[in-house]
Amino acid sequence: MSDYLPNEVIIDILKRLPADSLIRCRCVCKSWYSLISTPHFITTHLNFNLSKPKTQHQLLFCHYDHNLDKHRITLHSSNDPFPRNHFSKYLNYSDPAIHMRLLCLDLEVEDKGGFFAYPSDFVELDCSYEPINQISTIVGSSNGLLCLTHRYRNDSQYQYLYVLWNPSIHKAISLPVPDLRLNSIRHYALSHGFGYDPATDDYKLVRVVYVDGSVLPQVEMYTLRSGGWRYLTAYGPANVIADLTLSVFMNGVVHWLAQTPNGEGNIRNVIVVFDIGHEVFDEISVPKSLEGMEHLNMEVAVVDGLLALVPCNGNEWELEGEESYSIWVMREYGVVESWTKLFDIDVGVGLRRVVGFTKNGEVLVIKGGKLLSYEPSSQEIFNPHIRSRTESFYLNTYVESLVLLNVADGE
Amino acid sequence: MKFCTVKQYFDDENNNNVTNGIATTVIPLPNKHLKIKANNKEMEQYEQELLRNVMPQELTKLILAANYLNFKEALDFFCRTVANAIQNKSVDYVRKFFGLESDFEPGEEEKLCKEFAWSFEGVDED
Repeated sequence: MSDYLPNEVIIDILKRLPADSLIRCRCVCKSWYSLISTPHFITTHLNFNLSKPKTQHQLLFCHYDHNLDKHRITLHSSNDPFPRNHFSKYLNYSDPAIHMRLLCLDLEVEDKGGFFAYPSDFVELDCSYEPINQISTIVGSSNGLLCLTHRYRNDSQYQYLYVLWNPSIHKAISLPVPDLRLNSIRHYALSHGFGYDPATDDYKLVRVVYVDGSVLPQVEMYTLRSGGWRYLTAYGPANVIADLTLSVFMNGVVHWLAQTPNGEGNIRNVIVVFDIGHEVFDEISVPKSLEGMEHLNMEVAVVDGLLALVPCNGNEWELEGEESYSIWVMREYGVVESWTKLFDIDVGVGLRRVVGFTKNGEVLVIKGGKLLSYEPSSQEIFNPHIRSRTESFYLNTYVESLVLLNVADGE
Repeated sequence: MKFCTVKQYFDDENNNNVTNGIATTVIPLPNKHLKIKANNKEMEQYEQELLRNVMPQELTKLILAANYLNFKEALDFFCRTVANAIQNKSVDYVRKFFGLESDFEPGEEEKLCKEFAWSFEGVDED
């Protein structure tokens, strides 16, 4: 039958299959094995998934589970990742003691182990295999490919492990070690960015390092196609991106919130950007009212496809300056006047971080080591009973893909 | 544009054998589609019926016809139907469905299955 079917038709059928089915389909015959591994098919399959209606979009959520002593990575609906009826739907409403059960529900849920102790509304990704099982931090994700990193100390040096991982096909590759060696005695600030460059159909990881407080950083970049690192001769930003600053990738550009010393002892808050295609740095201004703030306590984010600034009040023991509670979005990308304050988050004192946004308009925040869901118009707070270290939470959009399938194992 | 290609298709001698099947299934499709467009559930049922009544060989002919006629909606519909039909099925099932045979060297296929053992979990029984 398939003798008659032209390749474009076979592709039209196969592109609709989930990744695990496609991995099995490679065992059907040699021509299907080749077909599914071609860059053309991988791109076609990815684009088909990217074009699916929003109701089918997913969110990837990562947190450190203290009970199980490991990182857990789960997939959720992007519309309502932590549904309010997640726990109550297990209750028997004809039970005469139902009122007592409802009153004690919170305690019962905590006892059982919280949100992830109740099996529905999420899919857990297997991250038990090498080399990803040792990794602690997600740098970013693009087209279903995650970039992970882990820092460890080796004698007098800090070593960074980097891994690219596609959970859909259970494949991870370890990146080679970057050139720049970081002597643990000296002080340095290091941040990362990761994204996809459509012009070269390549995935790039950028590393910005300031050694001993120097104003100009060392910038290194890894690309999947080259398989190696190189220093960028592009003029690095004469700003300071603080150590471990979170980045967001949108419009082909990596964004970090940074400070520029203006020579008179004052600082100016600014968003440093790195164009991953042209490999050049630039700046985007923050709202005027936030520009001169000594301790801004915010970080960049993406809200509804718009560049945003969200509260990031750090940990209890390192909080400096005034706490931030506002969400700002840049309605027109690059236009400073278009910065608009969307709303304030009112969950009481102690808002530590904003983790992400759901498609139905709720904000996921961290307060007291707990993830809370905040609804801006009603100001309602829902507790899905998820606890972890503040910095271990990660939330981003996710799409299934076959990226990495045709890349050789190892380096 | 659709009508010109249809006429050409019927004039083409090689396709005389499949004309009947196409006439009864593919041509009425746009009307059916328009009627069902509002109702996804009905479309799903129609899909199920199609799967039951139409053997894989017929399905190929329908797909080829839709492809030749450049009839995008029908092609989309048939490809989606086939994808749903083979989605969680075993490698053997997929082979039989498409009339394919394994041309791997002995042992090569086993190696693949072992390397990707995780993808074989939860597959439907044949």
